[in-house]
Amino acid sequence: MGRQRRRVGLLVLVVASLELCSVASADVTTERSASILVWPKLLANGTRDTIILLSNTSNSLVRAHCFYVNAALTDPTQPQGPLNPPLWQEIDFDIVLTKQQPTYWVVSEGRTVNPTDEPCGPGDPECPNAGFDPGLIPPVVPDFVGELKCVQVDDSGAPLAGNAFKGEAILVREDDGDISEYNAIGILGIENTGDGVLVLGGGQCAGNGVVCGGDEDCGGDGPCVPEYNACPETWIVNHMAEDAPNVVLGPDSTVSTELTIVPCTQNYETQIPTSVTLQFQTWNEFESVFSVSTTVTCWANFNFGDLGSPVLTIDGTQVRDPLGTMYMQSRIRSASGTPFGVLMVGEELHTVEGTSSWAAMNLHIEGERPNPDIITIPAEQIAP
Amino acid sequence: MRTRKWVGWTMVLAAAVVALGAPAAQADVTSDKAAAILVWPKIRFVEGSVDTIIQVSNTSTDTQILHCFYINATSHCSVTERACDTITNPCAPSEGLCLPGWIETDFQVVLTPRQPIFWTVGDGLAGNQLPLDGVAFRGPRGESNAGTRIPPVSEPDYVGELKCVVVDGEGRAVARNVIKGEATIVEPAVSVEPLSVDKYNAVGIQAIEGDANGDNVLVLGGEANEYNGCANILIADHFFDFAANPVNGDTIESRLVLVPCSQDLLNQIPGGTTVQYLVFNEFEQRFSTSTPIQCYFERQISSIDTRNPERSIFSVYVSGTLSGQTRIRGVGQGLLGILRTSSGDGRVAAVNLHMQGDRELPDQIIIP
Repeated sequence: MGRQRRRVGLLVLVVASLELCSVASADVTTERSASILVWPKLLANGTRDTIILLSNTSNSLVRAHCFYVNAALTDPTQPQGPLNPPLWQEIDFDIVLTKQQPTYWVVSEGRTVNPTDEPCGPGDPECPNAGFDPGLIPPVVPDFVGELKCVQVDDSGAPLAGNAFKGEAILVREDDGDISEYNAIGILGIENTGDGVLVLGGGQCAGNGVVCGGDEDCGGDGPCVPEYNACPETWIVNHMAEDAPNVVLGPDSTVSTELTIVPCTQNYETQIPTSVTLQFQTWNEFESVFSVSTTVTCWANFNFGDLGSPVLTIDGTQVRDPLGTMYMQSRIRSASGTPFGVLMVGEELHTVEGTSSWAAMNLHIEGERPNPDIITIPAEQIAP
Repeated sequence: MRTRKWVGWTMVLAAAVVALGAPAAQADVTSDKAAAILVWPKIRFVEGSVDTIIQVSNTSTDTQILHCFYINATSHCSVTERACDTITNPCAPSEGLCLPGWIETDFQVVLTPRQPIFWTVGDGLAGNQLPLDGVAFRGPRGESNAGTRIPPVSEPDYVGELKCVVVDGEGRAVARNVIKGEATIVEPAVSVEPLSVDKYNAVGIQAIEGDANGDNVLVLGGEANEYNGCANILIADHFFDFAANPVNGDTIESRLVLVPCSQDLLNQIPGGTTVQYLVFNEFEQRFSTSTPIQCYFERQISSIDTRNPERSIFSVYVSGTLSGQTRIRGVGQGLLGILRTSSGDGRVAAVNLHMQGDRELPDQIIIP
């Protein structure tokens, strides 16, 4: 009887402990501090520039290793094609933030290290780069379009699951100052093995470092040490039919919705871009549903009209809603043949009578991906 | 005897582990996941000038019913009753005092499976404006938006918030995290002011068990396991007011919008609390201030702590650097909010605030 009770007690203890073990979930977030931040849409192309805002929300000094990924076309003046692919060129740099420190930089200018930058004072609102400089941040090349990714690291340069960063991007149109702003997408860290293989939605076997989804993948080399939360299974976008009118601005207005998408899996060591085929399922206000798909390699920026399905455009919509426009809900997921997650942001361009205004938006997520995504950082970048 | 003690401790330890691992309300207020309660902290309508487009989508494959509340927070002059603001549009001495308002108007929205709908707060949505009105149009399985009647906001100069709760057929709040929403504030070009459109996500409060006891008191956080709690701290990254936009030199200003998590919509008692602000500049230098808020709070950040904005701790002239991080904490109640940044001649961008930590005490929304 006593032995049986011991077994029951042990069994309950083991089961309960298993329930408490950290399990990667879909906690990609746009509103909490994280260990990896991704700004999917950066522009410095002479028409629009981008201001990066980044803060340390912890009470400790923190470091990050950051990557610009230039996705401009080989020849920006020509359309994309097999002979004119995106560059997918990566530039990396390091930053340091003291406790609770905010910082900013303009993507086209970067930020130098100059402790003699004068602070602002009464009557002087221009004090560029005043404050503790986070490090030497290079300017991007002309005609840059792409993304920025920052990974929290420790003093040695090894990735660290500290969840200390939050960030935003402000896109500024240079000719008239129109602005739009979105939150950087954060990927929460759980633990980290400290190497250059960052597993999102999975981990690495403690014994041999093999990427794993759970303890069962490790056999005798377990347990599976979870690293970062997973990319989401589904993205949900509320949007208008392409070029539908804004009912406030009137029937002569148009609204175009752009999506900027980057794969979750990226290999900075081999510099081979990841391709993901995305399935779109779209419902309109009448509950009619349509499907379309497209493939994203490295970085993609397109509006719903570019997907080639007329029903996603106002002109192709056979019946408008009673107010003369059409709203839609699109659910976007990766096709099973390309088992990689994606991250994305949206921007609406509202146009009327020759004037326009951009409005950026963070998108909604649902579910967690069944397969892990992997970000691979070259070994010499994390342990100089 | 030793065996019994060992067994006993094992069972106690196991029970403790199970208890500690039991799900509890977290600070999972979210602006990027579907939820059971949505809050749009800022609704703005000025007849002929500004309007707000509300988008809400049903992410589930079932019909959902929403019980929604407009909360009119427009202040009025006590004598003339025109709309006013104590700082930006004060009452003249002959007009009396600028008194805050808090009036709730509720309505119902029915969403069919996966359906997105929208309306402008200036016009509302009803009758033959509904996409599936149940008369001329129905969904594939016969469902419709019948039962939906969204009124226009009640004043030609209106500021306030909108809140929607997922309910069942009897009006009881249920634990279905199925709705997502956005607000688009549209300011058409007028005279020298340019077209400005800014957009933010509605803040979602996810349900655990919903209003399981049916008392119409929705408990956010705490041990009741009804809804997740509001965050302890909201965090905003921003440029200090009057900073020069580093791209084009335009003057930047920011407006902070806060609403309390706790509200008594049954007895029309607005929520209120003291708000503590910790402000860090790029030198890691810290300032702090506090202010009381009630019902609805919207202010240019350099007007939070002073009537002389250039001397504010939120002013670039005082802070000394262009960018800052502000941590916002409601002392007695949780808060929800957004930040709107303007640059130059009225170009505006909105962004949802970040959140951190759990509150010790729960908040409550009491619905009629």
